[in-house]
Order: sequence, then structure tokens, then C-alpha cells
Amino acid sequence: MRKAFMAMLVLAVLVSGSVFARSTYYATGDQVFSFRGGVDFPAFISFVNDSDRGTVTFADTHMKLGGYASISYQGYISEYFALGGELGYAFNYSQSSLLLTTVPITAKLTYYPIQKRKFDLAASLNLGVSFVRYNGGKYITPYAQATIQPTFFFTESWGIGIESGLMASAELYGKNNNKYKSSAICGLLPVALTVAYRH
Amino acid sequence: MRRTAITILLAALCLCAFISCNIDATEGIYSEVASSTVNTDVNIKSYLGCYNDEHYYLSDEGIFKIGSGARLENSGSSIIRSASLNGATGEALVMTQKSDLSTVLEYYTAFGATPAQVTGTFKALLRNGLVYDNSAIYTVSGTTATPVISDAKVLYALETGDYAFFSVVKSDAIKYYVIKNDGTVVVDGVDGSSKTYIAFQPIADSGEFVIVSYNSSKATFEAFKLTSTGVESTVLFTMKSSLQYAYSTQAASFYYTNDGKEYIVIKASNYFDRYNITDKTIESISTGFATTLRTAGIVNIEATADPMVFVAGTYESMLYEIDMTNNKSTQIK
Repeated sequence: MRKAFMAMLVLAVLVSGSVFARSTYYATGDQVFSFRGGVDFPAFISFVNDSDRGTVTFADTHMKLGGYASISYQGYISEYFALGGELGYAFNYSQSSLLLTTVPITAKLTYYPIQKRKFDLAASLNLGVSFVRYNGGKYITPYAQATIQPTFFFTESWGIGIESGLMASAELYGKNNNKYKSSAICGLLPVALTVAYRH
Repeated sequence: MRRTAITILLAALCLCAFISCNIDATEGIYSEVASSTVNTDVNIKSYLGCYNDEHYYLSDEGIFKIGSGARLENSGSSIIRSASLNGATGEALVMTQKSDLSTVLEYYTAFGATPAQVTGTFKALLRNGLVYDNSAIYTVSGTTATPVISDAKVLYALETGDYAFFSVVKSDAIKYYVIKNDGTVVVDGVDGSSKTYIAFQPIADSGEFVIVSYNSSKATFEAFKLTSTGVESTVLFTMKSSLQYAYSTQAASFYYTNDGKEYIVIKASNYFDRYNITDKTIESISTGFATTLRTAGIVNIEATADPMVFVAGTYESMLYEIDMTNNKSTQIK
């Protein structure tokens, strides 16, 4: 599934880059604020050091549909790339009705292969950490997120769009830790409405 | 500008690598999530045992027998806190808490019969029938409680099968006792410590026991051998996994022999840890009998007449039979 997603992401970027004219809308120094909110679907939990448990997906993760929101700020470092940061919040309930929360703080790099006055298509990569809490346990995990966002601008500055992709947190333990076999990567699929302000 | 961007990204990656750490997860967080189960309205508090081929358990609604209604139900003014069933005779002891928070210990010739109050006021009743108050530990026969250990204030107790481990204060010192349900004192007031043990398993009737405590400095669960001379200072084994409940006492373990070798099996968070007493090796088990039970919240495991068969009660309101001959577990409720 991750491979399929990455393949789609790369394909979208390549196709869009070649099909559309390469006229640019943005210039170095432009900025964009964006806010997003929506749902997140539990995608997988992969126990990387436990072949007996392997990877469980969707309902077998014992997580329910959750919610996701974030705020980000980026500045354009070239006509095609913007760099900035994002603060998010995701929550899911487990089958036991206990709350799992994920608060990612990330650096965000966005590529804009399509950029028009009325429409953008962007692909973003976030890297950072997330603060994860569940049932009294806390963990600071490495965090990565890859998303694509088509955005329609109804004024020169304000736009609305959708965003989806993959969010992944890795809870890793060393071989000498008694939780070694609990090392896991958790993937969530966000689908969010985005509001962007650019200038 | 590009150099700045690369620097920021590298800094983010370094930050990520450096501060990623476990703060307080007793088990892996995602492991706990994937193991979570649907809450049920009724939770088993203790599997009481089998009498006349019928299994009895104490839930948070009362005492039940599989396949029938409540044998003894909680009411607004009386809540059953603990119970003990004699699997040979059907006699039972039941400790209830009244609305004024006082406790009453009652003796039943059989569930359904009119109870008789056991003389005395007691603090706790163990599943194996031993009781204690603030100054003594007793065995109970009918309505009569007989002190086994006197002038001793129980700090905490652990029990598995017929045996119970007591940490007590006696003559201003912490002492350990192990007492069988018939009143036999197997470990008689050896010197103890302020360390808290959270799991306890007899090695058959050898007079030797395994007790487990949490080593907070190493974040590991360590097992020690307890004999009539006290707790050995050498760690017998370190558990491969976190104990099922890191901070509360538990009775989710059992002992069996196979092919001339002795084993102790202890429930861990998502596995069973099996210690081979003969070869002094330990392994995590997640298959065979453990396939279903490894993610269950086990309240206690009790031996049956067959030394290779055990019954486990779970919080999820299920009872399972563990058959070590065929290495499988079967849901019986």
C-alpha cells in the first residue's frame, strides 16, 4: 500500500510537470499559510521486529476512524519549492475506546509542479517528530508525512482544497529493550479540507 | 537560500533522531492499540474454579456459573468483593462489602444455600480461601477462622493456585510468608524488604517459588527464587517482555512439566514468557495456546485435575481452557 501510494505520488508529480506549461505563479519570498481539518483513516501498524504479528491493516489495527487538523506556514525558496513548518493534531480511538493522540511538529517542504492564478497542485513532504499518547503511555517518535493537495483559489489570496496522503510514526526500541518486539510503525491516511492564504 | 533549506531539513532530521525516546510507555503504544479489545459490560474479576464439572467465576455483577444465571448477585447494599470455591466439596466463602463500607465474610455449604457469617472481621479473602485482617492471617473451616500467623499486619499478598505469598510487618520488621490453603506454612517469616513483588508462582509442591518484581533502574521485570530460607539474591531470570500489568499484583501464571522438563509460564503484555527451569532458558511465546490469549487481559489462571490443563479467566468476560498437551487454548465461555 505504501509503495502504491508513493508510486501514485511520483506519477502525479511527473505527469503534471510534463503536461502542464511551466509558467510559474510564485516567486522566491512569497508565503503561504494553510489550515486543514478532516478525518484520518487507520491504515496500518507494522511490527518491524515481530514477524509473528507482522503488519495489520485497517480494522485489524483496532483503531477507529479519527480526526486530523493542522496549521502550517511556508515561504517560497524558489519558484517551485516552499519550505516551512507544520503543527498538527490527530486523534483516534482504539477498540477499547481509549484515546490515541498524535501531535506532529515537522519541517515541511512543498513542491508546486502546477501553479496558476486559480489552481495549485502541490506535493509535500514533512519530517519531524510527533508526541504520541495512549492509555498513560507517552512516546516521542520520528514522524514523516507525504501528501498531495489540489487547491482552488477563489480570490487572489484565498484558496480552498483537499489534502490526502500518508502520515507515519515510528515507535522504535533497541535490541536490549524489553519492548523490542513492540517496535512498530503506524500509518494513518488523512483526508482533509484545506484553506490556504498566500501573498 | 537553498543551503538554508537543506540546513533546516538536516537540523529537523537530527532533532528527530536525538529526541525520539520513550517517556513512559509500559508497553509499546502501538502494540497496546493493536491489542485493544472491545469493552464488555461484564468483567470477570476472578475465575473461582470447577465443581461438579461446572465452572464458576466472580464478575463485577456477582458470582456466576457457566451456562446459567447468577448464583449470587450483587445488590445495591451488598457487593461481592472476593470469593473462594472449594472445588472438591462445593463449599464457598464470599466476602461482601456493605453500603456502610464494612465487610462481611460468609460461608456457604453450596451456592444457593443460606449463608452463615464467619466469626470475626476481615480485611481480605483470597481466592484460595485464606483470609487476613489487620493483625493475623487465617484459614477458615466452616464459620471458624483459625489464625496461622498472628501479630502480623499484611502489606500485600500474592496468590497462585493453593499457595499465597504474604509480605507482612511483624515486630517492626518486614517478613515474608508463604502459606498453603490448608494452613501449612511453607516459608515461615523470612526476612523481607520494601521491594514489591507483583507475580508469584509455586514450582509444583517443591517448597520453592518464583516471585517477580520490577527493576525500575533497568526497566525490566526480574524473577527470583524464594525458598524456606528466603529470597535468593541472584536474579533467576529476566522476563523477555513487560509483565501484563506493570504495577499491580497478578496471578496469571502456571507451572507444568513436559518431556521431563519443568516450565513456568507467565503472562506478559502481548506474549507469554516461558521459563525452562531445567535448562534455565526463557522465551516469548505468541503461538499455539498463546495465539488468542496473548492479547487478553488475564485475571487468573488456575490448575485443573489434569496437570497439563489450566483455566484462565479474562477481563473480557471470557474463560479459556489452556491445554499444554496439545498446545492450544479453547474458549469455554
